Amino acid sequence: MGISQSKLTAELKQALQDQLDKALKGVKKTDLDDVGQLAVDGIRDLVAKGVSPIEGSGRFPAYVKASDGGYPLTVRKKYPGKKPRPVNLRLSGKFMDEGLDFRSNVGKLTVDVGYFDKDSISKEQGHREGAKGQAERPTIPQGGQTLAQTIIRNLERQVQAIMNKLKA
Amino acid sequence: MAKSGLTKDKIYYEFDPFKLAGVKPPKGSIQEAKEAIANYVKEQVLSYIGQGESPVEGGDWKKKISPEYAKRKKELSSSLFANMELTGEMLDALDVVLKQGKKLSLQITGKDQVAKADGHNNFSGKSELPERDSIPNTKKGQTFKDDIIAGIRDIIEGFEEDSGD
Repeated sequence: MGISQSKLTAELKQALQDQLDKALKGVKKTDLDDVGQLAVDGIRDLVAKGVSPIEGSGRFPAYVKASDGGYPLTVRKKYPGKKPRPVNLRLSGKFMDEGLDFRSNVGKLTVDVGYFDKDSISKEQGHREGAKGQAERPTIPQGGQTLAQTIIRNLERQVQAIMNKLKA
Repeated sequence: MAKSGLTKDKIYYEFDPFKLAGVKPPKGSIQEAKEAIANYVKEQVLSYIGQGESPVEGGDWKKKISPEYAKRKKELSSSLFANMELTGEMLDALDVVLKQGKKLSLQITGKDQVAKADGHNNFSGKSELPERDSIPNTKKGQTFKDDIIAGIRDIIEGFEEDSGD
């Protein structure tokens, strides 16, 4: 007695899914940490150059009224290194250097990238919404947004490397 | 075929990303692929310039700036090397736009910004400033750095995988 095409397809799909599930059990926390660190480094690198880490957003808009003595010239006594260019969201450096971080979960196979302390969450909101009359400069994708292609390319290569390691 | 050019209002490098990467366009999603590649190329070009390097294969880039210019730049910028950003207006005028068919154009537009861009790219042949190639010049046989082209290829191949072909 023959087997129907649909049953065969379903069985093959299930077999492939089982293989994939089995392979994914080999993913280690350090693998996910590498992915998270790559995302954090990619965001930091673009922001440091005044480029948005959100796909299609281009360069961050200039600091509002910087040429009329507004921010960041208003803080130059406390932060003499802060200049109107590049627009790199860097004042003390804490927001990008320490605030931006990741959390990986090997059970769920997820990596969350973002800000996890109260102070940084508040700063992120300020940049995202454009506080104190500044332009909006989000650093974490929202809704239908995604990370810049440059970062995505690196993440895809890293995930592929993990998959290759699992196959070996 | 790629072509570069200079007009009063535009300095540009127009290219077919599929030919450049040596990959066939993905069926049914050429437009989406072009948009993703345009975003990627813009990020990459800005990223190279931002770290004081040319995005052009074999392109010139004198990273050091003169002491006189450094003194002036120090007032406005925390990057005291050649990153093409003093006021930021020239780089704000840089874009990668979708052209007809399969082509894209990396370009800087606006009379004042084009003059600044030509000062370093020297498409006109009249500039005496240190050459810093941010836009490939086809008259010199230039194109993007290999890793930018490799990234373009990855994006196109990703679309092929997505379409299930």
